[in-house]
Amino acid sequence: MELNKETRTRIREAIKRYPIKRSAVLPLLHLVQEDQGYVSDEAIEWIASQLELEPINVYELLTFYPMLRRKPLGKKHVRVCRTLSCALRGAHRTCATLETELDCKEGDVSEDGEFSLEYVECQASCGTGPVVLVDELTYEEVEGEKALRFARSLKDRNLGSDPDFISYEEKVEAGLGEPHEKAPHSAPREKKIILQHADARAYRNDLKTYLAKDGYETLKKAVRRKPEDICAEVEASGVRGRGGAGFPAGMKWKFLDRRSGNPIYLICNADESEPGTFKDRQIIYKDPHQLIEGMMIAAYAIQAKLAFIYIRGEFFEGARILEKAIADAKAQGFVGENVAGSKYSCEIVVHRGAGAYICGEETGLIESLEGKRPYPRIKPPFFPAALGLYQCPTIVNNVETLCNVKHIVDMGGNRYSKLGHAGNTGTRIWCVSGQVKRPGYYEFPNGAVTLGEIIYDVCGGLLPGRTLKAVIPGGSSAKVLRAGERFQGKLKNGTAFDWGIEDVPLDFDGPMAAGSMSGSGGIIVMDDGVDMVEALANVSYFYAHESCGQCTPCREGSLWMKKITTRMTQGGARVDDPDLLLSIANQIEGRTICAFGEACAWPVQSFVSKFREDFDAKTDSSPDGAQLPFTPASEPVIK
Amino acid sequence: MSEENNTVTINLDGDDVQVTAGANLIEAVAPHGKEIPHYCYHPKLSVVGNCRMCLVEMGMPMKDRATGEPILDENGEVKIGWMPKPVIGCGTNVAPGMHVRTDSELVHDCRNGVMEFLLVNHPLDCPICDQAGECGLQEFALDYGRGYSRFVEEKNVKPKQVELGPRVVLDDERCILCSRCIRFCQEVADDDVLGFVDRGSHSTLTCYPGKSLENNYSLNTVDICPVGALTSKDFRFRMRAWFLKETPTICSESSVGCNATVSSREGVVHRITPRRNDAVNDTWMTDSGRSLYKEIDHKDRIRSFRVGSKEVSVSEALEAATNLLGSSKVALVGSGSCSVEEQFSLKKISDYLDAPTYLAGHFGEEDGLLLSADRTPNLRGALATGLISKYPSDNLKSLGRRLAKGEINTLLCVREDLLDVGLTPTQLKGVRIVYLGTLENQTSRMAKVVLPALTTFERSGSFINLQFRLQKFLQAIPGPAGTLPDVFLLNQLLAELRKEPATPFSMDEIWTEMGKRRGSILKGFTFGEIPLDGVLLDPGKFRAFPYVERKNLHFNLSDFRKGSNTSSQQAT
Amino acid sequence: MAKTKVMERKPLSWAERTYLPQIITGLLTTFRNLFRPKVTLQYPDERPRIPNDYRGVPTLVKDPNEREKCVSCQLCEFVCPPKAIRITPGAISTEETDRTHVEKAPKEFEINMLRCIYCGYCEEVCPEEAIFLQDIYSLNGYTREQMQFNKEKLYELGGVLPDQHFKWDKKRAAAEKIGLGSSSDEETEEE
Repeated sequence: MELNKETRTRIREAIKRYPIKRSAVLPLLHLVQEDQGYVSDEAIEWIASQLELEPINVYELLTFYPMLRRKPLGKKHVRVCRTLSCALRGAHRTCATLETELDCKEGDVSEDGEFSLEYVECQASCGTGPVVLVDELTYEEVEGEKALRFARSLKDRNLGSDPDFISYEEKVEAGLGEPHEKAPHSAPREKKIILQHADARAYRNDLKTYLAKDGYETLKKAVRRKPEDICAEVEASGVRGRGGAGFPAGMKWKFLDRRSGNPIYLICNADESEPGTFKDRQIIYKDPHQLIEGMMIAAYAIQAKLAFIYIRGEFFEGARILEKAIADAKAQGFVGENVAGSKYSCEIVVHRGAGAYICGEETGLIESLEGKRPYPRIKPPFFPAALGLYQCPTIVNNVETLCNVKHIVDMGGNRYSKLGHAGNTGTRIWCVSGQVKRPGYYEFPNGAVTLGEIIYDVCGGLLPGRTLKAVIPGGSSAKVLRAGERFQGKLKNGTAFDWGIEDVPLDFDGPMAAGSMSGSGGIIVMDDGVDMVEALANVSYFYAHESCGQCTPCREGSLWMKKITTRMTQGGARVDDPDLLLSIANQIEGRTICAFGEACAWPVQSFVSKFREDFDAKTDSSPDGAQLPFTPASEPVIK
Repeated sequence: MSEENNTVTINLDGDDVQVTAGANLIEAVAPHGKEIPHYCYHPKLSVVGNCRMCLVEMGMPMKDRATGEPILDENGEVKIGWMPKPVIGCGTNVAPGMHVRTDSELVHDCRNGVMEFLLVNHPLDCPICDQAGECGLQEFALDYGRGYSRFVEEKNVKPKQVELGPRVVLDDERCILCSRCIRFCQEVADDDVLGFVDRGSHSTLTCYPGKSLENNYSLNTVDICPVGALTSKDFRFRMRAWFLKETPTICSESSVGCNATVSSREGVVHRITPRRNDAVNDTWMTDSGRSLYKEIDHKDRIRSFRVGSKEVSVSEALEAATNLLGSSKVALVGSGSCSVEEQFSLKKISDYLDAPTYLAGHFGEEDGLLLSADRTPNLRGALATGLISKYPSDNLKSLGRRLAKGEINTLLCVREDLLDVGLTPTQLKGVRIVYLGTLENQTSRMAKVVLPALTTFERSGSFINLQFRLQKFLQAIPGPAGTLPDVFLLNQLLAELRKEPATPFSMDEIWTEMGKRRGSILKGFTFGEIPLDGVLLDPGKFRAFPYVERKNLHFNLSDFRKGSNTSSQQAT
Repeated sequence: MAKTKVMERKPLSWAERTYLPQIITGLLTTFRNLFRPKVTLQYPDERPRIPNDYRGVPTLVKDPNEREKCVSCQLCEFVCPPKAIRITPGAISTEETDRTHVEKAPKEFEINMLRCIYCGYCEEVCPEEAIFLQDIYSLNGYTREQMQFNKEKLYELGGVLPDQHFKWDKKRAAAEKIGLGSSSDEETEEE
């Protein structure tokens, strides 16, 4: 097996980091692929023998994750994000431009082997879409005429030195504090706690800068307290998970089975893949030590034996930044043995994913971390707090949640709970993308702004000449809200509400009361130029592509809905289709192993029921009984 | 066992019923006539809950969080907190007071939905699929399906007619991704070669390229596959399942005695499949045991009675045999492949002739699962009937010595090839042999009189397995024309030896006679009363014998010696 | 209990007792019929018109591409009330490359016409539209063996069914479109 010496060293180290060998499958696959450009059959069997597995165990993973490949690609691999926010801003046109200029079909390698081009799903940079990755660098706003220049520059191999195109990673490294020239990056009523340093001028993501801003002081204080105290603070703060489910973190920590005798694990879910969300990226790239400090405090509070950061594979540089940050923090005694001079020890292992949205589901993540196909587990009995990683008690928390832990311990749980309002404490980072003038990410106390304020005041409103048509408030899995809709009812505390779409407050309960959810905080704005059927086809393709395939309703239903919506957008709509879509979505919701079922059903239910006229327009305009079975000309495209 | 007393009360569709404690809902409600349809659940494999077909509504009595007291509704009944979403029956274990609805509108809608989803990408292969007639999709589509299709798109295309191994064929389009085969290979057969590749609806079952599904339990995946994705190459396109008559039998490959079923139509056996017996073989069987039915039409099958090289009638053959066996230097060679009744008849012959009986053991390597080290199914029957009194060795050298000395000059040899068990042609020179067996071999060609024996499928009888469990097998097809079941043949032979007319008798009468022997462990049974899942005998003095078996799926020699007949390797 | 109505027999009139009126009306009827169109079919020179759904002799049909449609699913054998059909199913050998994807075809297919009752259940149950009762009504033979129709005879009598389903051809086209031949063990690649 031909591998570089350095690769072999890194492989040996990778295997040592995990309590159980099998967990090292994914890291080994990444390392082999970096070394050889792809994973050969010989490599599969070699990796299997290194980890005492059967080759099929490695093969299963290789074919599951899109980032891993069995065949070599072009010298430069170009990925174009095609998920909703980027598509709304012209990603498909960008890809067509690249196809022409690079002389390479999407999904293929160019004749001369120089380039390969493929569509990928959400890259967690929705506010700066359309996003194009070239090898490991992320290029933003590659649209229209700029896309043409980009393609040419790429073709001529000048991209690295082209001053018009600076990748996100390069911007972070250069400390360009304002990554987004359009966003003012500070809005009134914004209260930057998590993001207080991230985009500040001259702030770097190294340890020195962090220490200069009182970094790790909270950790030092925390380890002198009792772990139960820290847990009590977090519980008193009322902080709710920021990953999408909004489950109170303190309560989750309470469910931890501390008496099993098995080691406890902490996992940070940095697999940000929910379309519309791009907040964890900012923390990881620009202020990683905040996350590390938050994690160490949390690990201490739950007395974890080992902590992991499961970071999505497409954050190449992000993983390196975290590794370096951990190494630096370890050198200073904040991670590893005797944390901050206490008796507590805990390492952090950075584990890279490889392009699967389902790894954002906590039990799917755990299965992936264990080195298996990321099939979510049935709950009951496999609640992570009781039977998690390696069947040991495990806590899985989002990046933003763990950063909040640091600030909660710093200011005290009670003070934190005064931010925001009851049941919706603290601040949240909201990501706005889609068809607004100034997409971006902003941190507000819960309930401090409404949807209308963030769209019109903070983000500058819709694009010129356009009016609002629809807003998805919490990542593509949340139900869509229609412009002009009114929401009435009673809140949890008994007060009545009567909101227009602009009045929906941005916290956990607000969007929930409006019949949707705040999810991961990814707000996608659609204007009147968007055909809702095309938008739904785009979202359905995402879910059909990302479904893990374990349970029947999601696996078959998501693909069926994708096939129907694709057909509808390409002239084959039939009269029964809208009701059929609703029927299918109703048959999926509530019947699946994990929440992916709801995630793929809710968009369909909400789009079809709230924008029926768009669907009817499609069925009216295409002859019923279009030639069946219908072979679509292409995958769904937003024109 | 005390299991029966361990029950809890649950409310099933409005009625309070008693169910086994700790059972999952599928198992718990089955005895009450409620069928919860399922695909991925199998009683002997781990629970994954991925088919979602067994969704039912479940609720628990509500308790006040603070006081722990039950909350009552306006009628004074305990309020039931129904789960907001339906739960899977296979993954939910019963608890006292649980309320379950298996017949409500929501449950029917769930089943309808899952059924529809399973059929959406399923190919229209029923006319050419071997599973038709015993297919889970067909069955539940009829009971719970919509009846028409709403799917007008193009179905997924996946590989078909894939040779997974020497005995198993895979059709990926038919696969419903229940993962039973993968779990079986990992958990039972300990041969991790199968897995899913790709993702979502394009997930495909595959064997790692270069490896194949060729372990000795590969055909069990065909049995547990609920659809026609995994099919047996041997049975491929042989006969439709609805034409097959099923007869219970016992595998005669080794002393494990796997319970099996013979599927036959009009006198032709088409396949053998395992029968569930939680104490012997769970729901599994070896592949090598299944192929034993090929003996029926083997080219070397003995189909007629012979004296020398001439075909004769049964009476002529028995007359010739009687003449030979009337000599004074007779010995019998029995076999562990004979049924208990046949061994008893041999014993009666040996008693009458006052002839010594020899028996050779056939031993091999045990695989720890369902193939034991003793490769005959009924060695213990020879012990129990008194045919032999000591545990046999693997050769008949002591008989050989007596033959060489001339002390024995006539042999009645049953189902044994003498040259394979340590006798030499020199020793057999001049020895007159009466051979009773199914296949021609070196001994049969040397024999003066050849009597055709029947295979396990052509006669009824019983075997005693390594746990000392008495198990019976029933006749499925008739033997070659003109033949008789061995037991009756031997009885007639004995009658002729005694110069009496043969009295017709039944299996029950043989059993009564067997039980009359002093100290017999076979007392108290009749053939008809032996239950189809067997009955444990008390080995008595045989417990301490030097058996070659050590450990099998439900057997452990050390536990056996200590007094328990069975042992479970896997925790249930 | 049926109601019984007692008919009174009217005594014959004077003219009727001579029986002449009855003879004459009878002859008149015969005479009139002499000039009416003949309804007698001069069989076997003239053959009857067979209606569309007539249940004649069961036959096996081919599709417009001359492929035999029967795949020996044995449903007709099972449903046949008098058990007239006897099928030996078999696999299509891999050498017949244009048909391997169909996988199954009958090795032998016999209908014992002496048992067949022309009920049409086999046609109704066939999932491949392969067996049809067509318009042959006249069947004879000198021996019992002649009345056992084997597969060749049934296909000969059957002819071509002009349907446009082409179920198996479409399946093979779909498989070839994504690179799976008629029988292979390659996997589909993720898009």
